[in-house]
Amino acid sequence: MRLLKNIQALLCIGFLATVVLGGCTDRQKTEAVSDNTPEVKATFGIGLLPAENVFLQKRRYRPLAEYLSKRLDMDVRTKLLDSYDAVYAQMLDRSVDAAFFGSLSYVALHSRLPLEPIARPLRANGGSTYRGIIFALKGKGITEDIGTWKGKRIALVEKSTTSGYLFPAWYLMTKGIRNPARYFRKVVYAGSHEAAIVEVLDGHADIGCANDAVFNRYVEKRPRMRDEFVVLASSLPFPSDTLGVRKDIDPGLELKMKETLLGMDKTEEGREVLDKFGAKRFVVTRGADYGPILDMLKAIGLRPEDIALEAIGRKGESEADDVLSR
Amino acid sequence: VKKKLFIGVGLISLIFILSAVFVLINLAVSTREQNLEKQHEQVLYRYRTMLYLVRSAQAEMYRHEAGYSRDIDSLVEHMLEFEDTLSLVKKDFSLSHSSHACIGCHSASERSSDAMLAGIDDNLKAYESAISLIVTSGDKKFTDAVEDEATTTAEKIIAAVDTLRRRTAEMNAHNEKQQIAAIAHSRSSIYGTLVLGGGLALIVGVLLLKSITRPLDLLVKGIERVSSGDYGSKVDIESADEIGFLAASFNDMTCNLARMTGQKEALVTELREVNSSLEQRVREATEQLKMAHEKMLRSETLSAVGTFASGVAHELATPLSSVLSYFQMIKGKIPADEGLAGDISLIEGELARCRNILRGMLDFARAPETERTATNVNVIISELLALVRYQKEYRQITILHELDHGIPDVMANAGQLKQVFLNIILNALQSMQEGGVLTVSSCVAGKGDAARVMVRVSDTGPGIPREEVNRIFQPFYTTKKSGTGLGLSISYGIVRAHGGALEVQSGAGKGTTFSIYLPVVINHEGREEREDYNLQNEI
Repeated sequence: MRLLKNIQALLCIGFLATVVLGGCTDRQKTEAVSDNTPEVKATFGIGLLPAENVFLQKRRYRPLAEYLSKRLDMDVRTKLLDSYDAVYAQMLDRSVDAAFFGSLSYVALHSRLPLEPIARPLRANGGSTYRGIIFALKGKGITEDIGTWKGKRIALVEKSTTSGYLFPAWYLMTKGIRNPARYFRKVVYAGSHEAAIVEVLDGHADIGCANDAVFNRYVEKRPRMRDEFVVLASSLPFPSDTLGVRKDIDPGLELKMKETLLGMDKTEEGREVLDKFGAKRFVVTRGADYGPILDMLKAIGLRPEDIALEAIGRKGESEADDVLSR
Repeated sequence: VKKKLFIGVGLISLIFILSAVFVLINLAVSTREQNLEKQHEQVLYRYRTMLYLVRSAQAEMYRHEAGYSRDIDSLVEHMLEFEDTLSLVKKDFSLSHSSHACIGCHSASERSSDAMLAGIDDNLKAYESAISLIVTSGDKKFTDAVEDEATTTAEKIIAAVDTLRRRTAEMNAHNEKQQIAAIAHSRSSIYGTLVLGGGLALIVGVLLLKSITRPLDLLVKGIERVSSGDYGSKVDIESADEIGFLAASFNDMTCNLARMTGQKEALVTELREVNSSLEQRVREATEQLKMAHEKMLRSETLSAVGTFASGVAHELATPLSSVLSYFQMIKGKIPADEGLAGDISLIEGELARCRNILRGMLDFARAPETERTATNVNVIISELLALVRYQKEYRQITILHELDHGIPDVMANAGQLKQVFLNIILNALQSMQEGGVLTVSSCVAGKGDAARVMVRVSDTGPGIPREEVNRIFQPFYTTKKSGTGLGLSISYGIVRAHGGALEVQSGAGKGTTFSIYLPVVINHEGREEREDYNLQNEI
């Protein structure tokens, strides 16, 4: 062993001597030194809220981060944080420069911190938005008529979700039902969109509320169930997974990032990255796209800043991630 | 040598290769265990991170629920990071299922670990669900209950993660042990290879050196033997390599060298023999030339003397005959009792002697052509020996004859031959006044056309001094008081006239041998007789 190492060492010395004596110029040496010097690039942190499988989610965002790093000549990194409270905190101390937001989380965070929406992915199925839906099993006597809902059991997701709470609450309010707890025999918080669907299927609830993307994915996996459900109500589309950046970052960088994202589908490399990301392209998101959310909050008497950031994003806000999870 | 070298180097290389393979295997094991350890450490780190994250998430949850923090981002981030880390752990775990290196350790606890991871997953979902409920619910009682549930779930998660962490730590410790063991094996292998390879290299080197130097020494010694003259020297190397080839070539070379040396020596010997023969021939030819020259001189001398003698004899013969006739007439007129009888007899004797000399001179000068017939020399010799054997003056001499009765006839004048043989025999007998041995032999000398009848007359007399041998055939040369000096000259002329040859061998105190060669009568088809034997070369 030692002999072999000695032989290897001798060979290495010989090789190095050959290289050096073989005419390695000063210029080459300088270049070699400079090659080894790590290039320090500015970092750009993008916060992510965990989806159902954080590992798949992280892998899915890697190509995008690498693409942006190359295009922006920056070290773009994604950072998984357990809540928007964490995102908010890290945006405050500038550890994070941007984040992919759900619709409600954007509204909540925007009320606390100046943000600028840039773009959101147009998903492979063609949507860049999601809707909240209220559904039930067919044959249960439950129709779009709100009156048939009375005394039934309803399964919500969580109070911090747009589809699983805000939209049903707003919808019921618009239908004159201000106190759901009294109107329904039982109000269940399933914890996730899929769990709410399962509650209905298992008969633990009569009516369910969920994100249409999760719902569609669920029934797509189970084609026989497609006809067993009836959608009772559907919300306006809400922008899904918008990349919002801090307003205090360099406007030029913000613009460049926006252009890069919007132009990804124009290049082969961009299309490959989009394919891995699970999107067709990025589309522009404007502040006005969050109008319906704000309207619904206002209607039910909530202010954006009242939304608890810790609760947002857990099993509800990153609908797009759920949909796009593979 | 190359083969041996290859084998030696190959063996050493094989050892090193095997060792290298072994080390590589161990290094691979070590590296694998190191990687596993690294992975385990990473997983351990992730488990520790998960424990820290879930405990931190719990702490964040407590802080949040206690109200100390609104920030749930850290909590979520912790759990998301936990999720991410868990996914990585699951991924690592699923990868380890397909990794062979992990199966061994994971197989035992695989099911329980799978179950535990599944349990963590379930508990995580429950925990996250609980956390989501806690951070998104406003119901305190509900969140308290869920918090307890989340705490219990978190503890289950912590316990499961901690168990997995401990298991991983145990596996890590096991990996570390394996790694240390592999390194130890590698080290041992390297040491072993160094010792074994080095030893083998030494052995191979020594053997190789020996295998090269030993045959080379043998070769060097062989070369030294060859250089010292042992051309047939061989080296006893039978290897199949280059040295063996060299030795075989060397042996071939020495074999050839020995053969060539033998041939050379044979040639030298032959050359020497030829040289010696040539010298002998030269000497003989010189001698023959000298003899021929002497013979020619002698022949010319004889011819001149003959001519001169013939003239003198012819001129003196008539007056001498007149003188002798007148003297005999005067002698008849002188009374016998006058004191002149002695003087008259002396004059008459001297005149007869002169007349005989003149006759001899005439005979010498003109040997008369007589009729020749097939004559057996043995018959002539036998008659002559019978004539002289019982004479008084020759009793003290032993006369021997060795006659070949199978000799052919010669074409000759028997009377002349008898004259020749008698002259020579009498000369021999007269030379042995104190006694001795006379040996007369006949035989055939030569073969075929060169065959001749040879008659040899030897005595054991005082011999003829060397300086006088060449003069004995000259006319009027004599050592006797009463000799005319014409006997041998006339004999020589007769033999020559017969196509034969007369030779003498003598020396002071060695006795004398006369050899007479006569051509034989050769009967060819049609009984053709050959007589014209050419003796020119002999003379």
